[in-house]
Amino acid sequence: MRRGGILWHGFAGLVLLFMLTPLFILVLFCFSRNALLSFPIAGFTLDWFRKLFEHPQFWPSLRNSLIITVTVGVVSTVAGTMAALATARLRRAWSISLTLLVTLPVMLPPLMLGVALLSYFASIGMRLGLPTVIMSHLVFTQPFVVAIVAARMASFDHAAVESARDLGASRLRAFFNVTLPIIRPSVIGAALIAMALSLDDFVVTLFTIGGGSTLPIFMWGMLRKGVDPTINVIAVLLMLLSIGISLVGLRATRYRG
Amino acid sequence: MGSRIEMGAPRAGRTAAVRAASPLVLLAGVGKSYGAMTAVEPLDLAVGHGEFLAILGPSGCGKTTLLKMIGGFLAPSTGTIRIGGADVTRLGPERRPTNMVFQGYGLFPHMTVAQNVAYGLRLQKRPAGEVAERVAEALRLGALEGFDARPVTALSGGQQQRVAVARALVMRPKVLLLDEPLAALDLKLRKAMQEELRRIHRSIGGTFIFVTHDQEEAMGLASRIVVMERGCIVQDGTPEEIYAEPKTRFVSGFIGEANMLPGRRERGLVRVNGSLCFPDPGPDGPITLMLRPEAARVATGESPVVGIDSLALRGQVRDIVFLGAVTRYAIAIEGGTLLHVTDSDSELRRRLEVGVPVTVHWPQRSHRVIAEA
Repeated sequence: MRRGGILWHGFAGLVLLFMLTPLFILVLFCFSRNALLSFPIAGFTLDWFRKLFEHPQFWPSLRNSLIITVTVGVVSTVAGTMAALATARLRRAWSISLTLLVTLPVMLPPLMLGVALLSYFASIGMRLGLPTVIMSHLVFTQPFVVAIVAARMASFDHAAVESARDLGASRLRAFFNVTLPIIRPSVIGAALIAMALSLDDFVVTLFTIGGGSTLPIFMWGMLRKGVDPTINVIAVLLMLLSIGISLVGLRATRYRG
Repeated sequence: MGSRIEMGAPRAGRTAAVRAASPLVLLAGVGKSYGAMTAVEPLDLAVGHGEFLAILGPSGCGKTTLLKMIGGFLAPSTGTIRIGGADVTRLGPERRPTNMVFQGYGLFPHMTVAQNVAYGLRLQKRPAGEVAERVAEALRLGALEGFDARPVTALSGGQQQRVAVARALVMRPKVLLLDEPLAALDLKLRKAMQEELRRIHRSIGGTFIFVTHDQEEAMGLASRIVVMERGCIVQDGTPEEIYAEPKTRFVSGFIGEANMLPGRRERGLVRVNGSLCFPDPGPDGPITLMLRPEAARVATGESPVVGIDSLALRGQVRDIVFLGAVTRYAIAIEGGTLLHVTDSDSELRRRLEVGVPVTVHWPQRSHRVIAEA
């Protein structure tokens, strides 16, 4: 191999190493006997997992995170897909303006969004809790769904849907028989992104949850008391959850066509 | 050997009398406008059983809008549409006895060939045995045997087209509508598919209406052509009628090649290009003389022999293009206008070269004088 080639490959290797080392260390410290995140590793243990699972706030936080993530994933995907389908029927200028309008919340910094939502819920007298978190998450996840599905619809062959109607299908049936199967990979991809954003969110959740807790908020609470490897365990669990969602998604989107 | 697939209506002759007696499709005052923009001016059209009708026109003339109104994809702004006697004006496409083959085909990319063709029958909840039988027939008609299990995305353009036709015909529509059916195919395939479509039309004896901007396609397929221009029907007739007797300058230019010479008619006497003058009854005013390239002859020499009722113009050969079966001569006549003449005489081709003075002549009955509006 040429010298330049070796250099470039070496560089790429270093970049990869730089990016993946934190993840590797994160996983490593889950199993370390050290109470501080430091080298050398004193020995192997599963104590941190036990400690986390015995923590009184862990299971409620996990439960809340799952409820929020799944609900947000389903609702924002259904609503976002419907919005994208509606914009696809409009003339180009209209559809672009409408898409921009719908995606506006994404451009706000999460902190502002959190404050705005908090004062909104306060002003209409709504009690903070999981419903308010879910609604708030919809505000910033749905635009991604709209953008992804709308991009797919831009290259969509409407003649296929018209053919289905011509062959006797109602609008709804044509949607489920033709439109949805064709755009399914994009819809599932959009749902996964919405779920990942929701699962991960800390700022907006903190403002809108009131007394409860989700995994990121639980982590934050622990960090305030001091860093110990339980944090790593939660992080690894979140990571596995994300990878799991992605794998399911990849399998579901395998498009035979 | 006829296929067992039949369209919803019985076979019928193609004569004008039958057409007028019981039209299958009857459009009365059908028009479509979007705000101030008019796509189709209110028009009447009757299509008889068994006709193979081409709606021909340049892009933007309203032909696809008209087809989509017949199929139920667009609601007309004015007028009524009747199919088989029933008023379908307000019915959606799923409730009309028509089926459409879309430009680009609109196949379902996530289904196999057989699933595509069976879709409409499945919606009707037909018994599985009947579905299988009719799908097999439709595939046979489309020369698609053995392709049942293939995904449609793995097919060539011509095969996809036949799937689209089979998927529509399996429904046994009273009228099959085709939107630019051959536009997406390359030239060679287009010729082959023309034959396929003619074969299919013959074997089921159904009524086909198709839209095209390609005059050759219209001439090659249709038993009757409706020419549209700017939302209006400008001529309606058999391909022969339209080719031989175009009613307007637009039609003559659009259908086949034509030489157009501007002139005037005064008191029954037509003058063209200064030197040409002949009697032709009609109203006074500007006219266009339309002459097909194959209708004229080229003669050499000082005083060529020209028929008694023929017209002649002197000129000079400007260009010679050998096209295989015929040779095309571009001849500059007095005044500089170019006339195109095609001729199959190889002896003539040997005698002519660029710059040679010639005489273009044609019998009077083979040109047409078209009054300008």
